[in-house]
Amino acid sequence: METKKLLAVAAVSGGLLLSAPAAFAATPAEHAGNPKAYLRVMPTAARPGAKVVIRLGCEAASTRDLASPVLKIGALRRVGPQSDPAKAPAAAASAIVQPAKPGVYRVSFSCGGVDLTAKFTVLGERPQVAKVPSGAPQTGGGPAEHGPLAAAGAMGVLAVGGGGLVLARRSWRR
Amino acid sequence: MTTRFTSRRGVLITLVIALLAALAALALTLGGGPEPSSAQPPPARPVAVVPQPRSETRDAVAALPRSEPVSIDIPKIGARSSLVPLGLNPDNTIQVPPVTTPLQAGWYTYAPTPGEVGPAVVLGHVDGNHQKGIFFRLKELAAGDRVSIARQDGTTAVFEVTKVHQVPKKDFEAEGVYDDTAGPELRLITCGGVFDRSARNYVDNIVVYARLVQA
Repeated sequence: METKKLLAVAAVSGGLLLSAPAAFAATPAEHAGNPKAYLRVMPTAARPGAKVVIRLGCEAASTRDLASPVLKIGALRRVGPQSDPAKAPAAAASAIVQPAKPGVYRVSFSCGGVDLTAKFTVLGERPQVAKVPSGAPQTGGGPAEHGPLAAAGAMGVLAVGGGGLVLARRSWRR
Repeated sequence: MTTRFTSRRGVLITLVIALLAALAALALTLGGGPEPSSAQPPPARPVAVVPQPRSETRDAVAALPRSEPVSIDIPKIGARSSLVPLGLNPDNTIQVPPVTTPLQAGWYTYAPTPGEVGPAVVLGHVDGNHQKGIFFRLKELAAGDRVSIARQDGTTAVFEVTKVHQVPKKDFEAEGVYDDTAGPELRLITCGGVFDRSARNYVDNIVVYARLVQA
């Protein structure tokens, strides 16, 4: 019983974590019910305070409930040709990214009773590393075996040895 | 008689030459013959390093407030050092501790301090001044190993290694070492791979990734 309870708690907390913004499931922005409908946020990631543009297309008479927990969305305005049979009539709105924990959040709207969603990523207020260095760290002076001291040592042995050879030959000649 | 003398001399000369060769080889070896470790093939690494979005982990430890690090201790590889502050060179590359004191490690001051949310960065030389450096054995670390960092506020941040990467220096920027993280993390960086003698430079970096587990 106690174990079951613990498991249930674990499952619930796991579920909560999964529903956190970072674990948002990928959702297609187009919907089968409204094949030409779409929803886009540009850019797809920004820091709080940044301005982004939401663009959507919807053939249905009603476009409602454009919303996101992290975007303060301005008025929708019609953009582009509204009667092109090949395209859904488009609308756009500008939005300001609200202060929020960095992560992936939902943007959604309803097109004639069909809900469309898109993902939007809130970046940290500032990069955690304030100044990102260029290139790679140079953290090595070189292996000791290739150092000039070792080379000098080898030369020294050769020189001394060479001298010894000459002396040895001289002594044999005597 | 003459023949015998000549042949004896020949043998002697041969012996002397052989001795010389042996001594020369010995000198090279004493100068620090190829370390057995540097002869090993580089550890396996991902072919393409794609920075992955890091999600919150359930057992993450609460982050610490900002406090500058004082010293580092990695028991497994016997690495202990105080930490000097490191900034940027005029060419925007990261500063490193003086190569003449290769046992000195340092921390990057433009990154979060160890224990804060984000990637804290500690650098050390693999070698320098013809000696082994503080991070000579860094590549021996593996997932699960512990790294302790003492901080000025009296706390000690304990990190657990999550992965060790060997990254070609030309690909270092794409590795995402300095990318934002969800929790308090640590990066330990040194050099590795083959030493390019003409460029007097190692071709790879060793990067150890760790996360805070105790504070």
